[in-house]
Amino acid sequence: MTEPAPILVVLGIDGEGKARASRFAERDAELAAKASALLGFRFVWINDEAGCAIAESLPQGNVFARVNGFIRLVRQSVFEKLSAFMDGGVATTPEQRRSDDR
Amino acid sequence: MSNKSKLGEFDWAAGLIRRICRIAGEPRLIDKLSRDLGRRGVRSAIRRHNTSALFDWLVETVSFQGIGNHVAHDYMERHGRVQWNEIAALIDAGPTCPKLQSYWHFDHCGYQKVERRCTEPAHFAACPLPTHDLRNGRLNQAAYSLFFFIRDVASGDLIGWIDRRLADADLPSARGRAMRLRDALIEPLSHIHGVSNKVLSMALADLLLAGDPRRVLWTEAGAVMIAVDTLVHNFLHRTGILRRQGAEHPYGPTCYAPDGCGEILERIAATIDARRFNPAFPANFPRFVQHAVWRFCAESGLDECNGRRIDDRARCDRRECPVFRLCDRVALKPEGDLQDD
Repeated sequence: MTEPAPILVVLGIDGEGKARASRFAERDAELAAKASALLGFRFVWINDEAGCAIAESLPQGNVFARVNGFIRLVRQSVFEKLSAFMDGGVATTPEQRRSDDR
Repeated sequence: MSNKSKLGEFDWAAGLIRRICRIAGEPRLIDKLSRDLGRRGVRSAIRRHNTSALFDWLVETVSFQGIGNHVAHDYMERHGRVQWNEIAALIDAGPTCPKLQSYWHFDHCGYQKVERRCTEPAHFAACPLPTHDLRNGRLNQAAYSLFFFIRDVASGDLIGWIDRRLADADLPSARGRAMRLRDALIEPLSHIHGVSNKVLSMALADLLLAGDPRRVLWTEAGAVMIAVDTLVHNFLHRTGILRRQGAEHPYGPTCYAPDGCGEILERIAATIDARRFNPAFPANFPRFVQHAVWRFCAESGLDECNGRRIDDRARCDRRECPVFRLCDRVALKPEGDLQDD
């Protein structure tokens, strides 16, 4: 069985305490990493099957949009499921992802 | 409307616009733009990837939005222009406002010049935006948003960013290639605060068409960038093109929506071979067609179709207009409630 393609996700809690998460195309990884670091959000590559199933349902983010358009509001339950995957050892940077792939 | 009669309406509209191109089409459009960009140092700025010079030109171009060109120009002559180096120095000084950290933070700044207020009143006294005496607060926000975009998204090299975006969108065999090249630039840049689609298309079209003829992708993308201002919109309304296409709408963002002014002009331009006006032109050249419509209307052009020449409360009665017989002469504001041009 082939492994799912890793999905790039940015998530975090905004200044108003609201849960936000979006997925991004791989070509936008550099800008998504830069923006998420500046805005204090978390940048992760989801690469296991169950995590990818959740990540695929996330709204598409836009690296050229500002704050609200960059990552979207999501339901708390979805955010918590995603967070669980991260805490379960999901790679958090492209470098880590690449080293995991080796 | 049946498909057959729809086709007939489109042929009529295309015929009218073709006539406008013969009357007002500018065969030296690219040469004139090249000379203007050369005179203003933009062509050498492109060669040297000189971001600050390009920013200064772009932000001045953006300042022409929302008001007559001469008013905007006079204001800048009297009050000065905002420059890259000024903003860079002010941002390097570390302003306290949390919105001035990066492109992605600069959202809902809300600076209003006359009212002297914003959405971060605790930081207003130390804010650098009011230090630039621009015509209104929206222009100050546009200048800072553009600065942050170039610094953070384009990593300080706008020319390199344009080259990369166009190269990534360049799939030679795919349909709609030119439109994809255009969208690869317009979509990201349209998120810059305070820069209208019209001004963005106009500035980019000039830059791409005439900035560097050796950059083939630039020319292709610039050729399909259309700037719909009130003159162009009102022409499409007055002539009856919008009505016959079932696309009547007020001037504004709808002009760039599906079936809006931009899309109608694009479809018509696809039926006009611009090489007949200048063999060096691309065959499909929507910007040339849109410019011909604008030039036909504008006071500074042929001055044929605008609010000063036509009493818009009734059908146009200018029998001397060269397209009088072809035109439906739809009253623009029979009840006096539409926009002026």
